[in-house]
Amino acid sequence: MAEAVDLAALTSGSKPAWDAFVRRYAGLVLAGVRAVAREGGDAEDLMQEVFVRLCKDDYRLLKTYDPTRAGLTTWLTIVARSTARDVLRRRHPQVTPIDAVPETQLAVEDRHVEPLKLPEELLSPRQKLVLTMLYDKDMEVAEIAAALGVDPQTVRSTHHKAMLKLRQHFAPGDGAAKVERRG
Amino acid sequence: MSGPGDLAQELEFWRRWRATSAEAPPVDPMLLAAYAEGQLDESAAEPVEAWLADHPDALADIVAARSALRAALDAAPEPRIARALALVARTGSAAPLAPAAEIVPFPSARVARRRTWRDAAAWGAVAASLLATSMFGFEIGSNAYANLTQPSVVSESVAHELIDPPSGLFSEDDDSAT
Repeated sequence: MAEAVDLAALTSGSKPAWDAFVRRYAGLVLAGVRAVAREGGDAEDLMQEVFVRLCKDDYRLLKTYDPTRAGLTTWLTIVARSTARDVLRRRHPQVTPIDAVPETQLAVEDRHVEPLKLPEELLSPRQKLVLTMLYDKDMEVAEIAAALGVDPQTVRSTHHKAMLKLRQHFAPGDGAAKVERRG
Repeated sequence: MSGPGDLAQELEFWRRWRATSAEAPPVDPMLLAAYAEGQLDESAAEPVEAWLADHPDALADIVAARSALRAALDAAPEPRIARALALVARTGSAAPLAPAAEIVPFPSARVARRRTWRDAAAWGAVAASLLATSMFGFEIGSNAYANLTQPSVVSESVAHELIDPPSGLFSEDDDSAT
């Protein structure tokens, strides 16, 4: 998609520039929020919320866009989806009924536990991200590789090194631990 | 594939570490967009990945942003576009949000449904007339062919029907001309 948008005119309040911007990118914004919205009706209202966010406070958010760092299509997709999630979270706060929580999780143990101190740099951000995707999001190696734009072997290697660090820290007596590769 | 015992231990180590690690500081959309396009080097990508690890839902944003670069996207409905256009009332306006009087209202669902039925009826009428015309033309052609294959019964009435069929497609002026 060609991105010939006059940003200066847009953020200075030009009505023709705003109209051109909306017409060019409304479809993109709608596609972004639709993926996040729970039902079709929400998607179109969420689209409006995104445009409100872009122009409010004298186009404060729109003025943060820097065309030398990334394309407008990419930036708008991210803004649209994150705005949609924020709006939905405010409208529908996730509440877990107490009856749905197992009793074991509600139990309060009366014992003093020394908080475990771990070095901040034990895992690199990339290692933390890979483990999050593997264990918290339950993603497959191929999915993670596609999401991060790396080779699946890189994902396996990152996982392996991360687990070596954690194993060495939590169970140093295990010696040379072999972490079998997933996937 | 990891065995059940290995996986359980890995999960345990991961959760223990997770419970004590501090949440990464927030990352602005511009940095996320640059990361999605692969514009960041390893050191610049680190804070983004640290934040994504704490906000895995945002990972889908990265994937979607990459897909958006490639996909052909459908246009948004016009009424919704009009609503967004109305956010900026006039050039140079310091208040980007349009006053309520200038906001284009949504058509009601009932009006939208009526419009849809009217459109459907109109197209149905066009389709019906085309079908009737084609069926009538086929009938004429079939009759003409049948008569031509039986020369003994061919009469002026066949040609006459072709030129001036009795259904009234042609005006009375044509009759007077012949």
